[in-house]
Amino acid sequence: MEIFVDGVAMEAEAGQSILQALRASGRDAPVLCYHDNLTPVSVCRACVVEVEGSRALVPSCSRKVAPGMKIHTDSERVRRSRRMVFELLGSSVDTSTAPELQAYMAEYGADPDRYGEAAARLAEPLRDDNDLYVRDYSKCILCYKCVEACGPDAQFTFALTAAGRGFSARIDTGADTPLLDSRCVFCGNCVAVCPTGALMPSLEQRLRAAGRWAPERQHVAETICPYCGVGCKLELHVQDNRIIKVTSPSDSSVTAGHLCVKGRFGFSYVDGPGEPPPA
Amino acid sequence: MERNPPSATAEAERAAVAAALSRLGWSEAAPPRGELLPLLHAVQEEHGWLSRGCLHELADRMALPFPDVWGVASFYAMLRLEPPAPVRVQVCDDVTCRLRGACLDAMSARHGAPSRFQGHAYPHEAESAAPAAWEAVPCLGQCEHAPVAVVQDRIIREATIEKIEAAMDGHVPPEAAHGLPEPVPGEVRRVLTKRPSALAKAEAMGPAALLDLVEKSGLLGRGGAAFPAALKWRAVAGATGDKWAICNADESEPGTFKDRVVMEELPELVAEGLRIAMLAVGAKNGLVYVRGEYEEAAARLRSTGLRVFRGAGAYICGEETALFNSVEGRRGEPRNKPPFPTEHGVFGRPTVINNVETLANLPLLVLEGAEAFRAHGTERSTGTKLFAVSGHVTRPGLYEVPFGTRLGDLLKMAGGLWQGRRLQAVLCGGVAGTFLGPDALDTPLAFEARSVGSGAVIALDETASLPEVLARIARFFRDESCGQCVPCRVGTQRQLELVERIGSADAGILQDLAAVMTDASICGLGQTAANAIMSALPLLDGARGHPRAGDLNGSVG
Repeated sequence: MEIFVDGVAMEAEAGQSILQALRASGRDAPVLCYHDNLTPVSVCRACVVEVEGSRALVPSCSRKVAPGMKIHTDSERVRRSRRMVFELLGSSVDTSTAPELQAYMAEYGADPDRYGEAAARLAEPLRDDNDLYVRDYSKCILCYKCVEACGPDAQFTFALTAAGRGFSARIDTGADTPLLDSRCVFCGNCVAVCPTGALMPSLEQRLRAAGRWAPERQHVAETICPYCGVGCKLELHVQDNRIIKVTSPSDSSVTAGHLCVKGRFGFSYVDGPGEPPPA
Repeated sequence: MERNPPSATAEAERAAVAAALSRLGWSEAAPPRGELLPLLHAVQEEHGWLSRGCLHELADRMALPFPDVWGVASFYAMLRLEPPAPVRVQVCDDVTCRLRGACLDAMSARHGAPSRFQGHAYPHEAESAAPAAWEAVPCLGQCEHAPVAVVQDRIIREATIEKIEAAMDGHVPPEAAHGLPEPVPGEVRRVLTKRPSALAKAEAMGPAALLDLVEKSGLLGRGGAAFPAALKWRAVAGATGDKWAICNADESEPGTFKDRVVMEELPELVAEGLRIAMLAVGAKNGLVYVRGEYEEAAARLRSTGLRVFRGAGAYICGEETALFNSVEGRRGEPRNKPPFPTEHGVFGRPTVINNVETLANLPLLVLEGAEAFRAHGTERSTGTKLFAVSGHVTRPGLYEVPFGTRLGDLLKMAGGLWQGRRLQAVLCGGVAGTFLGPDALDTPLAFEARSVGSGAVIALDETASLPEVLARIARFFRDESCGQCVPCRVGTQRQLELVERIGSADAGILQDLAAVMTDASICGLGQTAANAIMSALPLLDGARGHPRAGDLNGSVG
């Protein structure tokens, strides 16, 4: 079908979202809550575009293209709403480990400081209640990706929910139950999809806190997980010849980026007994 | 920790959940998820509040993950996640009750600071902390009797500190009298009238003729959005398979009480309206979603044989897709549209959902026909409209007038400004509506004039503090945002912070907030959260301390 993007005619396929059509033509929209392997929830509103005939802006990640649709991705309305989304997030959450969000804030000219010192921010203590990953909800933008990855989009563990309401809404294990007492199976798939570092492997968090997290000294080695016969593709993040983190590529046909607790966190044996941990 | 409470507590919690399940007919099988909210209500009634142990037990019995149950329970203001005070006291601190002298300061002075629902403050540490003696709550929909309070679920009208304290001491307030007051001159009682049943005639007409009738009548939805009823109906009538018709009775817009009065006084109109809708669209399933605080209205509707589903304290559940999620036992978060309810509604089925007043118009329409219906109102806003008039008028109450009636005339029907005062402003359409100044009394009340909204009309006299009213409105939206999308979740918080210092606030930031909330929020709550505040800014300009005011005959100064 034919659609019009910023006045230019282009081809799109039925069933595509506007975002998919944009990407297929080499364009893009900023995204925070969107992930290729998760059902779009369209809550961050970063990817909004203007569609002629629609009163409000529409989320490009979930709105399907329609024949003849006239889309504006760079109008004043679109830029203003996107700038405000980034600004509102920047004014309320700790973005120190969210490079994508920081980049969007700079690109759109967001000014999170203009709300003043008194503006309420998320102030949650670091939840460091197990050996594998930490939760810092001061950094959470409530994108729901962790809930989806823990639930019906990947893991089917259902250990997470959104709780509360409004500005007090948080991601929660249920009554703030510590992770070891919760339904969590420590697959870390929530950590893998978190866009802001609110969920972070404990080792990474400790290295960062000690000032020893050094991306310039890191490289990635690909391998296959040795634990079982599924054959999950692993990316070993190596710093100073020590494995410091394990991920899986989200375009892997085997894992779609998801792993189990062993693949993601069970790598300390590589260093052998007696070796001190890297942090 | 919550798995190992003292055994007597655990036993009591298990018993409370078992009693709730039994009461709702689920002693044996695991209930489906759609039973979650009714069961949460029932467990709370049995146990007094929803302890962690109760919620774990209920999750186990329903075969639901505990976090899911917690996510739902923590969404609703009426569901108590902490033990309540021995005597539960709620005092409305919303716009109308404040205007009518809610005794908030006296309560604070004598009983300490109130607790307020703010999305269940998190994390929860309060399981053993002493609860506050009273709660300040948003509009209870009883504004014609403002100020109001609730003590142990009994409503206290025209509440004073003495009445509240007497009720706290166990003196039960008298039952409210029933019956509609006699119409005042200028009122046109079309909907608010007892009539013979229209059901037999509707059945004889059949679906096609009913659809034509509604189309010809021009009936627009009375919930606030003014969507043509016939469009919804035709879309659902054309769908196949299992279908639903839902009456939206989650009236929660501050200052709005019209649906409550209809349900309490003329429940059979609502029942007939919903049955006519089901007949017209071919829906086998019907349901009324009643605001949780409207216990008497729910009881009256149940007596007509309707299936009644109680909300639990969430303004957002009046948004149709949030209402569906609530009925399905999920958090009341609105869905992205499309797909629209007519295609993918409750339980994924085609659903027609109409406001109480919209449905209450149907018996009249069926009995008298489209032409008689259109004889009242304007070209585009056909028929009559119920207006809930409150605030600084002499006779707050429900008034039925033809669309197109002048705002000033409606205020005169309500007895004009109280105590001989002059008018500063009128808030039309509730807190998602628009402020009009004393020079706008000729505004016709019609959807095309954007003066109707929810049907709430709140008058502010010259002594009212408009900045305080705006701050309360801003707090309402912050408290009632579901929290799902960024523009509304953070935008309503920032709007509140700015409005609380409105004299020094940067109008540019307020405009930016209004733009992102209106343009980019998922649903109507965020999209209208800045309406009233932005409309009031011109009234505030240069008027601080010396508001412009006028009388109802048009003299302004």
